[in-house]
Amino acid sequence: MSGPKLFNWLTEVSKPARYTGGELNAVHKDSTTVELRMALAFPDVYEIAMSHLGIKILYEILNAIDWVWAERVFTPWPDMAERMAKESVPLYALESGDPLTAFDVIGFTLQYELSYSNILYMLYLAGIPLHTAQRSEDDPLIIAGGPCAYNPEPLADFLDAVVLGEGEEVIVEIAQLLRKLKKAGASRHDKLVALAQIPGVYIPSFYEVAYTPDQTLSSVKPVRSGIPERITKRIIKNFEDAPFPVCPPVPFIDIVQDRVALEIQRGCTRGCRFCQAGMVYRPVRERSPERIKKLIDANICSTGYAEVTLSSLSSTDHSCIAELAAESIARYGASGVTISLPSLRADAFSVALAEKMESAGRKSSLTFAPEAGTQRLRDVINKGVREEELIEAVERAATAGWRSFKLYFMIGLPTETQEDLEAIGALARMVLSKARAAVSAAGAKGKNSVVNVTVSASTFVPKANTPFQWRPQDPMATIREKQELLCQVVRGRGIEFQWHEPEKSFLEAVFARGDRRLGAVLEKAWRLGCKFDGWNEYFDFDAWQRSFAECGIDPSFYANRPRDYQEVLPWDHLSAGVDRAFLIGEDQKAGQAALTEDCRAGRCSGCGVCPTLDTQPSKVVDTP
Amino acid sequence: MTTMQAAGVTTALHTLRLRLQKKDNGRFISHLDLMRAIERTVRRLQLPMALTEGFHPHYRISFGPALPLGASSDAEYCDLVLTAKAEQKTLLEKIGQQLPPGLGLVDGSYVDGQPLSEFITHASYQARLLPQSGDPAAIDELIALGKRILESEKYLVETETRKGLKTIDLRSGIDKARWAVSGKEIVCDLFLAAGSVSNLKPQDALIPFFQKGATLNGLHRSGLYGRLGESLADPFGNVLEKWPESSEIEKRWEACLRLS
Repeated sequence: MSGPKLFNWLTEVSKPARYTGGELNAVHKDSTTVELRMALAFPDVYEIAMSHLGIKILYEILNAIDWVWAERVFTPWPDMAERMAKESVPLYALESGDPLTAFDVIGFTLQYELSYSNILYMLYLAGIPLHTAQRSEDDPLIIAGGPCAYNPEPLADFLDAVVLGEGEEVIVEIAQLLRKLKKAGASRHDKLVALAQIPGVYIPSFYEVAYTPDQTLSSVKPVRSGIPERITKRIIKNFEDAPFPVCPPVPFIDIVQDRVALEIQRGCTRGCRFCQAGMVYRPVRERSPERIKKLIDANICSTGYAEVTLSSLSSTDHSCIAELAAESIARYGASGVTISLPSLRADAFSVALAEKMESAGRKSSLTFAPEAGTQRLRDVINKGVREEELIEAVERAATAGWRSFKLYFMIGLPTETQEDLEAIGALARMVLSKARAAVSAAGAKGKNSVVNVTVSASTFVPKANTPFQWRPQDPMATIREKQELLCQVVRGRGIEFQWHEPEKSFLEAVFARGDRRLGAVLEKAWRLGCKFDGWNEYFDFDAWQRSFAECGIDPSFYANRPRDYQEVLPWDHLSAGVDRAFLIGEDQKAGQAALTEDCRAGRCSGCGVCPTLDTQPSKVVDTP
Repeated sequence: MTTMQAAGVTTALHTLRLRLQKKDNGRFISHLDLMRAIERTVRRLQLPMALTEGFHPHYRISFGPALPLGASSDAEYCDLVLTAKAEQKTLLEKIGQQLPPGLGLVDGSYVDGQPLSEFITHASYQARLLPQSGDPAAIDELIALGKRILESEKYLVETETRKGLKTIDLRSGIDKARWAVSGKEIVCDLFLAAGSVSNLKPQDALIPFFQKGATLNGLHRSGLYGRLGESLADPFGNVLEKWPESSEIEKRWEACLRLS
């Protein structure tokens, strides 16, 4: 069997099993007979990358085709990267051990903005020119997809092609096209021209961006004929039967999500106005319990995992979730396999579900995300959680045995006032006292009656393709003041407050709504040593600030400036299917603290996804 | 055979002992990773495993002593406790097929008697040491050092543990050792105390050589042994008549390395 070279010096780097490949279910093929070699790249360390479902889906789809070999490649931790440089080992794929330059296509997933510097880091380690324009005929095509692909503009200089939306079908179309063109000896340029004809594929170098004197965009236009003016995302209309991995690679080492993640539905139409996932993954599509059960069986048999999480953006919204949970527990519980939910809505129904799932064991902590302290602000963001529901959920959970509660909030939301922030403290105290009362009513005493509440406040980052895409992020100084205020009001015995450094959220906001001019900043920052920006041990904000300054770019222009509805946004030529008019309407309703109902309840909210993509939401059971 | 009582029903329990190989990429996984890999193998096979009691029941599987990261082995033992006795040969075949790449099945058998952790007292290793320089005198110096250690009553070295520096006596942990020169390397066989009573890690046994600038160019575990009456035996009860020849151990080691 081929594979990465197993150097003895691997014992000198941290967690060498990140770099050896050879995991159970990893796919090996003959590199001399396959016709197309693709590397699925995740720009972060192995434990994060291997927890990502998207790569597993594409890996299995591509490797089911006999003439394609899809392999995995992740960012080596800097100790390994330095050692590889010293030993003259270029970045290699985990299956064959072959250098990335041997591949036809490298596909990066863009999961979060703070991973962008790692893309440059990986290209460098692979010896591939960073810039699209510098790549030769022999270099692999560098493509990308994932949620951040809805605004890939800061990466436009580095990406040959970008895929919008769900990849299950389009990845096969891309592979088929490239196989044909490779056989015909087509040039790199001809390949890109042909790729641009596939719906959902965007070739950044085929578009020209013009700017106004005030530095905003004036237009984004194709530079040649036959290239679409606007690219719309791809979706899977038949989600029920869409391919889902049944035999994914199983890592030896402990990873972040070390379990079967079974995607029970895709999309969420709750319509939280800050949430990019809730907008770009529309419409909602459910999988049937029959198919889910078959997939769980197949995954346990092929992986041996002891935990299955029923995964989606809002799993408790699945129309058969209660039945699914009960049946899964009955089916697998006896063999020691646990079934879990990724997150819970703050309501009694969700807690009842969680109760069933954890009934066998000690209760870990429960996490709820009210996001804002007052009902007014929760209405602004369309987070349909009422205080009564949250309290009822907490009381029920405390009665059932939970003692530890986590509450997630966001600060810096549009229209936020001091009152909203102070209310976070009041809500935390209310949760604590109601939980304590329920615990004591249940008769618990001593150590077993100690309740604690952890409040975590993240910073609001306005994202492309959301109703808040025109809104400014609070300046870092304001965020710090708000955090200080929260430190004052979220306190007391049994209450803990956690917050995040605002610098990372600021950088995230810059890139989330950035344009092509940020490419130079990214490259500069990478040359100054920036990498693994999501990791505290490597995040170097000073280097980033120097990069902005040296490129003559003011980052607050991107993060902290209110934009008006007339402004041409860097991603206006890329559509997630949701109408601009809907986003504007939602932003205006936010100003009035008016709610928009989930379309699953029966009334269409007019987001435009269904007509644009000629599709409709699909539920297993049609009950509002 | 032991038994388990649940809900008033007594179930007979059967211990299947496996001898595994850690090879190729398997050399780079930790003891904890190995345990997880075996647990998952067992779950894929849906074997009738006995469970531990408590809130979070898990399979009753136990392992021998840990191996350093990077070392290969053809003597990793583990015990699976089963609630039903399947035919041994077929069961072993199934397990062999289900092991992940990097692990291999050498042997297996139903056993009675002591658990691994109580039984094991000794371990056999082979190490390849690379002297600091290619000078033949450097090799001679290391071999002389080895002889000095064996001739001493006590040989104290400091080793780093999680709790800080600790002084250990190598002599009490080294039962036997022998050397041979192979090209620029020294092939060193070690027979060390292992297990819960007295344990010397192979990388600690080699500290004096590292202090002389030698580097470890490979490590392999070739056997685990315990007392059976007056003699030593492997965990299946096969008496160790004679420590296998160095060349024989080397052959088994080579079988654990991917040619690349």
